[in-house]
Amino acid sequence: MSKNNELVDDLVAKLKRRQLVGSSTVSQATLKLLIVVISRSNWTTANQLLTLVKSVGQRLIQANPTELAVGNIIRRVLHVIREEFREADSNASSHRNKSTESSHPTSLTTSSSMYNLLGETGSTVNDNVQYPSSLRSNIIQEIREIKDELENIYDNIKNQALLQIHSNEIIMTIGRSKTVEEFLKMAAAKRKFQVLVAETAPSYSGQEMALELSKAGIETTVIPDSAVFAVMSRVNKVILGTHAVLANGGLVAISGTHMMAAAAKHHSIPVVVCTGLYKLSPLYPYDEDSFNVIFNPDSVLGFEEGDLVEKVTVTNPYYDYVSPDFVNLFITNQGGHPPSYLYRLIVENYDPNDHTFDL
Amino acid sequence: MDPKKKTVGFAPEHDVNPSDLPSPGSNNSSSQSSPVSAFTNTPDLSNVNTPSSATSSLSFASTPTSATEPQNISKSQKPYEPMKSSYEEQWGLANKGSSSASHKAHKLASPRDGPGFPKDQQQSGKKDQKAKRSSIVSPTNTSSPIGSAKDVKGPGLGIQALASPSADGAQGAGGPAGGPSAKPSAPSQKSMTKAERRELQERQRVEKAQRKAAGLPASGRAAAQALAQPNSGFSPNPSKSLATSFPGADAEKVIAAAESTSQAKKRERLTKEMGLFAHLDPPKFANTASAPKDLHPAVVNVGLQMAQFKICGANARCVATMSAFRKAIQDYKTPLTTTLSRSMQTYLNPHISYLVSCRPMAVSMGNAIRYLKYEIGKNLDLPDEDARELFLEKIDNFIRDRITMADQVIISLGLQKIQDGDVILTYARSSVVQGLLLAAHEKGIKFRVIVVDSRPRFEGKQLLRALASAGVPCTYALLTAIGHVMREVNKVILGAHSLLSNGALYSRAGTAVVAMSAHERKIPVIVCCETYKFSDRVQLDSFVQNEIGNPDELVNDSNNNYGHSSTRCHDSVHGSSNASNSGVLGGWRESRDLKLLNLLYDLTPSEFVTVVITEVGLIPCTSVPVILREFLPMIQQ
Repeated sequence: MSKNNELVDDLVAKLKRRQLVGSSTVSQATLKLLIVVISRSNWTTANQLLTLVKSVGQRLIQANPTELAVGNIIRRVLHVIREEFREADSNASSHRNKSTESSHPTSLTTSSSMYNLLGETGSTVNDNVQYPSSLRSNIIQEIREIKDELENIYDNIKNQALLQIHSNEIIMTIGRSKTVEEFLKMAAAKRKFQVLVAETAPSYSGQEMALELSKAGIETTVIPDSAVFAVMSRVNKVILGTHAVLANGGLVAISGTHMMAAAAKHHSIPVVVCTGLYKLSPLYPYDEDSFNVIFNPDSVLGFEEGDLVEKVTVTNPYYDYVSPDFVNLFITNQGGHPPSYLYRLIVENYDPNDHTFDL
Repeated sequence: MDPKKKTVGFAPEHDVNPSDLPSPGSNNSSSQSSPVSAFTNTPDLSNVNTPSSATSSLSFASTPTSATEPQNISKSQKPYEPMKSSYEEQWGLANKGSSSASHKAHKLASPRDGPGFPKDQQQSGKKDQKAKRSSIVSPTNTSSPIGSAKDVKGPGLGIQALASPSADGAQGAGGPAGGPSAKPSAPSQKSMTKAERRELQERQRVEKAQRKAAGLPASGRAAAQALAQPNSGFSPNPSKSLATSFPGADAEKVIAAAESTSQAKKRERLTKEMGLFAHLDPPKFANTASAPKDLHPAVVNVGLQMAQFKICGANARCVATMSAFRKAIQDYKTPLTTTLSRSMQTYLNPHISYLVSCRPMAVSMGNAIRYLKYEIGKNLDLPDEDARELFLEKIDNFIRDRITMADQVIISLGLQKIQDGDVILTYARSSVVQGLLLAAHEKGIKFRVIVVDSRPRFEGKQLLRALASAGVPCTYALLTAIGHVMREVNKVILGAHSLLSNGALYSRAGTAVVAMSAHERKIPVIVCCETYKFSDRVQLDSFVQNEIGNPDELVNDSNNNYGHSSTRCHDSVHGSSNASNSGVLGGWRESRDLKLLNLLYDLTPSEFVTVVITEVGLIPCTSVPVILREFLPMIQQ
């Protein structure tokens, strides 16, 4: 357990210090850690394992609550564990009384929330069953599949690029998102289009994005953030990356996204969000600021302006909350979905018991 | 080196970063020629600025440099005579009608001994001053001032830049970096330390040397340099004509060359304009070379300052233009065969087209000039001196009635709309809004201001500075944070460049986003706009009529100080080790697929604007054509 603790402490520290940021990196690190923890620890019952994973998860989430992907990955793992135990459970019970007809097909209980609503409590796990030794390796196997999914996420998303982008389009984007970058590059291989990138002050990640896209041979124009509204009327699509997707379909994305999405809505320009499913969080934004970070104001008003800094408040929010009304389409690694469908994906990927980590 | 080349160029007395300031160098190789003397009033401006620290509550000038304007306005509220003297104070010194070069040189030198001499120049050391003086005087006294050019350690920009193609490049480059900037208006220079500037110039020099070593063909070299260092003020290419000490002058020249040989493609490559905006003028790099010879120096001055955005903002530009024209009319000598009123139009026309060639005309300027022309046309038969007096008075009255007093009225009307506990959001900087907020604070209203700002000009910082020093509680945020800051706001007050006849608000780029965000949250959007900015133009989008700024402003390298601290932040965010991502876009001209678009204005649809405060009352913005049709003829009587 202590050796696990060391690893957990390490990741916690990295998250706290923001040495690890970005949904993709933190989710991969979390998954790697969980695989080690689960394979090394001693556990015999489902509850033991669930408690173990939850406790690790709690620490990681507290380390940086705005990295929602950490929580998502932990929920995915918990979901996998529950399913594996449930399957083992039903196997065992069906072995014990082969004559009695199984009350329900397992697949139905696990995947259909509607079925659960009608009184079936499939989520409880029986502790008194002797599990086969293959269980541990099965669970690890399942988690590795999540890992594979994470690694192939760009492929799955970018393969849909040609379905969304037609020739001679003008596309607008903001900030730097690896997903969007891959998506556009893929489309550029077959189609010719133009990209406008808002430079995204004060991080100027949009400039980097533009540089990357132009290197890939895409005709890219950098615009200051102020020109977003002015040129929006000629844009065909707004394609956004995001930091996280919330349960209602709202986005937590780099600041400036709200402005762009609202401008797009005013001009009735479709807004497409490219995101891996690991960014989909079952949490709900009760307050717009609940998932925001107020960042170092130095980049907004530097200390070179010392006399001024003294007298004024400088604010530098890192993220924006974008309400789901502004989004027309999510392109995930499982295909395109409207915001109204996200609740379904949440039910499929997470167990309702895991939305909050109560031990 | 050709000594002839060294004699040319006029060393401005304020020292400057070469990347930023137009050295009013002349393209004429004779040092005594009239263009040189025409620029002698450039230093005067900077001198006059300092004593006239903004005493007025109304500041039209959007840059500290043009602090001349506030003074101007405050005086113009008084009766006609005192105002005249204020003009003379500002614009008078150098161009009082004397055309003797040596006389001018005296005038040039004399103000620096006075108390009004800019502070930072005094800091730059007596040695420098001495050197400077020699550099200034030399064109007039010495026939071949090679020595003086070499001696100059200080900001003898014009001379040094031209005199030192490669070997002397280090010295030459070091020169302008030697003292603190005399132009506090340029934030990039101001916040750039000596070391930083030196470093930058060192880099540029190395780059140049490399290019040279690479053996680029002589003819293509200028183009390559223009591509590589669009901001460089130095043109080490001796084969070129000499009026090149302007930022971007190289690029401009190459563009001109490309155009003359009708190589449209080449031009496109240089300016890299976006297809959608191909109909708009490419950004202009004004220089004196393009100025006709017989322009009045005051106008040339204003033109250059506008081109450099030293004077910007609709009011400031209009006031500056009218004041310059006033000066021009005052100094105008009627040709023998005609009368003043009849020849005035033809006299002013090249001035106007020069101003347009410096920067596309502001709507406010257009309206003011139209008014002036109308007055001239109406009084063709007056005797010369009466006509002159009348025109001068008309200009003064225009500034007083349509701008100064209009602003007073707008402010008093606007005060009714500001209450205790308000949180007011404003974007960038408008002189009227600044006046209004300061007046509200003076009145004792307790309110808070959120100043939203954006790249690349960061105009809001000036407003922020003014408000903060007056003691108004302020919050500062960038435009990307608008969604975040808008929630606590209960009023948005914006300035305007122009109001169009369909009710659309034409203003600084970004205004539309702010108005939209406010509208989305049902927050009232109040626009302050004088009626002289109303335009009978109708525009549906921000494309048909707009202005393209210098795209290099978007490159945040150390040349352009704006972004440098942000890169630090960015590194820490991503935990990345790419130590210097400053100037991510530095090589954009080389990259085939990368373009920069620096749009200066945008169009806010009328539905976002709740009310417009004008000097004729609070009106909906769709009433612009009504005002234009019904009231303006009445006001103009």
